[in-house]
Amino acid sequence: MLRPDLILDTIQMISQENLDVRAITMGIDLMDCKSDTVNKTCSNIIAKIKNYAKNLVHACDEVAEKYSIPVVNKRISVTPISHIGAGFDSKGFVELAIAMDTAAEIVGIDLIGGFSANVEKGISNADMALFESLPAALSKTKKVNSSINAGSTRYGINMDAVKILGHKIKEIANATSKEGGFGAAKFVVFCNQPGDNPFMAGAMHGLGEAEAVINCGVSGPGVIARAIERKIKEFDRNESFGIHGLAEEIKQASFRVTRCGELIGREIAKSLGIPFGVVDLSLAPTPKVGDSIGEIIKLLGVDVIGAPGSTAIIAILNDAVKKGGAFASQCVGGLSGAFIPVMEDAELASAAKDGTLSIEKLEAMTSVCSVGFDMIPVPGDIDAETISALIADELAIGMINSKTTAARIIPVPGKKAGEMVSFGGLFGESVVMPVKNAGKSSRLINFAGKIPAPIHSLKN
Amino acid sequence: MTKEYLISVITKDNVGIIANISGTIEKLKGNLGQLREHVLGGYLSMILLAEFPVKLEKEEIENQLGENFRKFSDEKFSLLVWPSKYNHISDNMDFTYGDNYILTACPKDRKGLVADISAFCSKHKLNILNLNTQTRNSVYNMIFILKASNSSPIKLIREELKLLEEKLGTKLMFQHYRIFKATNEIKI
Repeated sequence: MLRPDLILDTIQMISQENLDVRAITMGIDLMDCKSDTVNKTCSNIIAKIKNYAKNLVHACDEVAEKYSIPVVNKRISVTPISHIGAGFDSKGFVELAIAMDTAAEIVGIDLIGGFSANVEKGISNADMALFESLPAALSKTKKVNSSINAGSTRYGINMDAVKILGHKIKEIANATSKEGGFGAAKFVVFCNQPGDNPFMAGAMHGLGEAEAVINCGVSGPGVIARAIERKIKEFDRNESFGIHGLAEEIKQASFRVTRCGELIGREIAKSLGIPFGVVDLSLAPTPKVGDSIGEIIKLLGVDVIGAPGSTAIIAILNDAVKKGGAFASQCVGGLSGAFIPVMEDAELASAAKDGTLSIEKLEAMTSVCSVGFDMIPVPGDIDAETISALIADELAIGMINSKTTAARIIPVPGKKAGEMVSFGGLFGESVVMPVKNAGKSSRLINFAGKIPAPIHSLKN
Repeated sequence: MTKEYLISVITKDNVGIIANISGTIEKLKGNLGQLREHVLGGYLSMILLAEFPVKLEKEEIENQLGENFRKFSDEKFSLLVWPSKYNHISDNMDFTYGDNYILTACPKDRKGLVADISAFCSKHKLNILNLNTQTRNSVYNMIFILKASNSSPIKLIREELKLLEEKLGTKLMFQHYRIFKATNEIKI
């Protein structure tokens, strides 16, 4: 039987530390929805999503009620749409995006991901049609998220795609200029994109996945931050300590958080009668006070986020989260690390406002965490080549280090560095961040072509 | 053939009490089943289930346990031996089976707290499997492990708990047992 002190520890975690399940994402294979006309394909997509996901929200709410632990986001990811729309033109792809949005609305979920393509080695006609459709697809829909895999450790980086996507990001932002360029917040470019990620904007149902699956994203940074605080107080009272003591505390808190996700994710999958896929261990912050990765960075020993040492702290955090979480779950997947999305994290946004956190420092931090440039607002008049070059830098980190990296950059139309932009809700707010040396990278981007795969891609 | 008995013992705590009682049971050719023992305020309380040969009478078990204990200790000794109607000797006491919940509260200490919460449990047919309370720094920690298999609907319980929270002026947490097992034990 459990000891009373352990029961009270768990209660504290649930009641005071923002413990929740951050995302339940149902992956659905859409390959059999492809038909000879756009209209029929759209109908098939809506019918299939309805069929699998009609009870998703209800099942999440029921399990959340049983365990009294909220499931914050209910989402769907689908097979990369470039495969489903192959043969259609860009207008056809826009219709597919609208069909995804309609299905998402019908089943009552928050977001749907998978308006995606993999162009790591080359761009097919279908991929190009999807590229062309992006500004309209993301401005005419509310819930659709899009991701492009433009590089991998195995195949290198497709700079032809990176060049085009710089322009597309500007077009998406301009198409949603009334909402501050919000469309670009629903679009992300990856290197080594996983096919089982439950988090948006990069969620999609990879080609190697089952017919349908439930993936789970665990709770956010609040639990970890409070655990660190408690440990530091203990240390202050009676012990000398090293940073490894705090890493151990993060590991244990991560174990507990992951276990909750595993338990609840499996129960939801069971009630829906579909297989459970993975737990994604990523610490995903929200703009809510006390749910911030930035707060953890400060707790772990730097006075301002972005000060020297910030990268080392992210490395400690990312590693400890993985160690604790990997042991807690039967199957870990997705991105599994720490996110540093500037707009979605109040402390990071505040550091950006104060000028202590720069894009350059963020880039350094992304070399040791799980994602990359995430939710970074930049001046609206930035040139497309500079956006492409930022993407190339981020993808290069992922390619060389055999890890996932991504870029979700938002050129905010009509705004200059230092001005505020707000998307509300979980998407948060921040000042527009200055980009040093903008406009100086066009020769690189205009070379286009490919960045060759690194030597360690030759593993056979 | 055997017959099952419930045996309860309360006495001042000392080294060797369990050895004395279990030794007597063994001499009587009894088979010890489930046993729960707690020490509270310097006193030991123990309740156990044991099987004995059918021909052995209840009075003989009482006499032997009493005699052997008095040889061992001069302390006051309360002993009850009851024939058990049901075969519970090997019941599974893993609380993770079925729909068991844990209700916790940590209010400022005052009279009547356990009475109020246990009356709530009774009203909603929540059977208290285990209750642990302790006072620390004027805070009264209560942990109720509850069997909810025949209870009111969980949604209703949660709604009415909010009213009880207002009445008691304290937060009441009502969580499924599996959450505690998952977050504290290696085996899920």
